[in-house]
Amino acid sequence: MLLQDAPAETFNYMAFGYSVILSIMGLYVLSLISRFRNLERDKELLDELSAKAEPSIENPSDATR
Amino acid sequence: MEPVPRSLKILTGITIVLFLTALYMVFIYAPREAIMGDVQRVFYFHVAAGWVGALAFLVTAIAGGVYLAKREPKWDRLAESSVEIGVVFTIINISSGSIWARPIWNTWWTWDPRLVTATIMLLLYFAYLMLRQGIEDPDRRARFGSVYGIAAFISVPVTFLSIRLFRTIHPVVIGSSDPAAEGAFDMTARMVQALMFSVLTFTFVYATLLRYRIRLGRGTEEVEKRKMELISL
Amino acid sequence: MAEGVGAVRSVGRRSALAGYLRVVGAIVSKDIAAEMRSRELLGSMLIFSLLVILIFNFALELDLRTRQTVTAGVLWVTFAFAGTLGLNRSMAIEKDRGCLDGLLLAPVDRSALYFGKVFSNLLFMIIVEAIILPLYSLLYNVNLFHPGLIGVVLLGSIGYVVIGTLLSAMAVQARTRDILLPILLFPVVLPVLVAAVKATTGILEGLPFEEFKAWLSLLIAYDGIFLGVAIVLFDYVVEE
Repeated sequence: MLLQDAPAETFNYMAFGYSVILSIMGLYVLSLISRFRNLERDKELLDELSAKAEPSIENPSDATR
Repeated sequence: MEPVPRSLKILTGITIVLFLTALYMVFIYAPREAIMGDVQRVFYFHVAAGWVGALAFLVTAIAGGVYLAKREPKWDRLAESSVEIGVVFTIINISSGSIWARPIWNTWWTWDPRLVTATIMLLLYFAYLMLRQGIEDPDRRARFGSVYGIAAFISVPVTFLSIRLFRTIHPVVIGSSDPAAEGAFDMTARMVQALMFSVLTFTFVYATLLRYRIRLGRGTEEVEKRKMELISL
Repeated sequence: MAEGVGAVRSVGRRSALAGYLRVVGAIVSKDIAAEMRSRELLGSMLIFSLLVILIFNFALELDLRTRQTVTAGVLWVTFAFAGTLGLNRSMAIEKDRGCLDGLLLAPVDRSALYFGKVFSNLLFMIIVEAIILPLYSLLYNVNLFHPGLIGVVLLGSIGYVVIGTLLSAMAVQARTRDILLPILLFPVVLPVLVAAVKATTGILEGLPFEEFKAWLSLLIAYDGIFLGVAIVLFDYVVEE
């Protein structure tokens, strides 16, 4: 070991590599979260609309909520 | 949105713990490689990501097969969700492989059979998604997706073999018989452990993301259905 | 009584096979007849191939030395692109003229349809190759008349058409039909192209058989695997 050259100084590349890996994972998780939020909003919108459309008929989805 | 089931919450918790532990193992527990230095640490997550990419593809193919047999939409939802995650992790695999290659061989790209196969796998995934996008009828979309998923998956090992054969006959300037040139290095026990642990962690990450993505798919379908109902009122 | 039943059964089996072959033959002859009338498939494939070779001529500066190493690649790229045209048009004709629906009503195993299309697609591809090969020979003074070469071209074309027919049956039903087929096909058919180019180069450079034997095995294996895969999966594509 002592006779070998020191290992290459590649810390920067490692940092770069891990930032890329973690960023891509993070971006995907964020995209999932954002899509879930959009879904929630769509659902609320739909609830409002269907309540307005037929206020007299009980909205069946209320039972599941 | 249906509440997050307890099992998923527990799974998410376990995954987070595993991930933090994996980071510790990769940065601290595993030793610094003698020749390549720190950049070699990228290898652990690079391989784990590649593993998830392949696993995701396998799941898509199998789910497609089951869908063709049973015609239950949940199998198609599984296939579609798995592809998305597979794309993400294959991109991680390829980019981390490229970054690892740069300081070692002074190039951003090596025609290494595994890297090339990963790229082709990515192209197959994209083709799968484009096929689905181009078809309106949901039943046909699921059927065609299943068929292509199976055919594409079967092509991957054949492609890998053909590229490997290509490389053994045509060693690229980079690929000399020096094992270090192939990215091989002697792995100490700690490195092996770090690698195994990373693969395990990423498998949990895959399973967790998959379940969330399937939930998203289910929710989206419900919303679409309600939209159609509302329009027809 | 037993012999009677046996006789009926064997007649039934014979006529089932005959019926099957009749459907396959019907598809091939229909395609040939249609092509003889309009010549749209062969015409477009041929012209396109010539254009590709022309472009390669300027793009690659095929001087005497590089020509040797690059001929196989140029040929197979040409075949791959022209093949896409043929596959696309062949299936589009079926769909647009409603022939597919008519054929699907025939009381015969769906694989007969698949084989019919595979044979006619293969036929057209071979015709184009049979014209391009001598032409390339002439233009570039490269002798392409080896029996081995013909064999490789055949094996490669079979692999290409076997999976291409399945995928074009799907692509033709999508909105993005024309651009979708190459996207679906090329990544899957890559091993065929790699093996065909290497085997072709081996033959052209007069290498001993041992050296490119592996590529031939790969081609044959691919052809076999994907023929099996396509036969099984084709049913699901034309289900409706």
